[in-house]
Amino acid sequence: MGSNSEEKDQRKIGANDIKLLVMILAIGIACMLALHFFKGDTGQTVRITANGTEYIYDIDNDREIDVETDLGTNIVVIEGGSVYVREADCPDRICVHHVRINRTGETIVCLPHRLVVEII
Amino acid sequence: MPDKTHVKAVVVCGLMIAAAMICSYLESFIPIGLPGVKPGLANLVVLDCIWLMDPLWVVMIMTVRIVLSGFMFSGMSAMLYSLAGGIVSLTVMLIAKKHTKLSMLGVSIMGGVSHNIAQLIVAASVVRTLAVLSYLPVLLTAGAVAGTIVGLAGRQILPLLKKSGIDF
Repeated sequence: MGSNSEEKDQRKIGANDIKLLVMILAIGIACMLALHFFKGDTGQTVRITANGTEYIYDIDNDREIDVETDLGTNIVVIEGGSVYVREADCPDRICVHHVRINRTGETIVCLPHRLVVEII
Repeated sequence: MPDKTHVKAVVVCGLMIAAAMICSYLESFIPIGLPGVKPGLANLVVLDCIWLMDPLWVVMIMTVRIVLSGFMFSGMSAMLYSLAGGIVSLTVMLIAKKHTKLSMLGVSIMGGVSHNIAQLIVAASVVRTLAVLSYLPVLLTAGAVAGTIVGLAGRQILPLLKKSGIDF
């Protein structure tokens, strides 16, 4: 391969790249702000979906729920009007590190266990 | 393709797969506060490979890398997410390189963003909940930032790889 065609291959950073970057960042940040400012009011109902099965709870009744499926176990805690996942035997434990949720539309997801905790 | 080139291709692909696996191993030590957000260092290897060799080789490198690190570090379910993200982002990057005027930086950004979108769609369909999609803005922004970092690094590394005769 000649060095000329190689030089042509590696284009310089141009206006197109910058436009693309700015556009995606603008859309992303605008949507984040929109979601932040228009987030729902405090919700009343907790919906837990575990591997396809749905359970509904009232957010004002403090309780601990052991969600057990073939995929694993998560302990969901409803406490003082908000919900969090206290324990899980999933590999990444992203659900356990998630902040407490209490507004409609907020979710905690445990992908390995196909678990979704939602405020509706 | 003559035989000699083929041997070289196999050797170079082995090297690239190894490099990509080291990248994805190293990145597991980089702490990032957001769930599901990763810098995608392995994409650095894939990105440079797109400029160095035929698309088919790059597809092979990406697939082998993900399957191997799936067995070794991340586990089966994470492997399927990576595979979905990897295939989509590589396809988008190849198209972007061929049919747009974007430089390596732009191509890398397209790759990062499309990778995240693909993974989120797979996640939404696995848990069968659209609410997951509200995470899209975060992943979009993170993908663009990660793509920029990887793209800028890739630009610096490409000439070095070419100088060592890695292309074919």
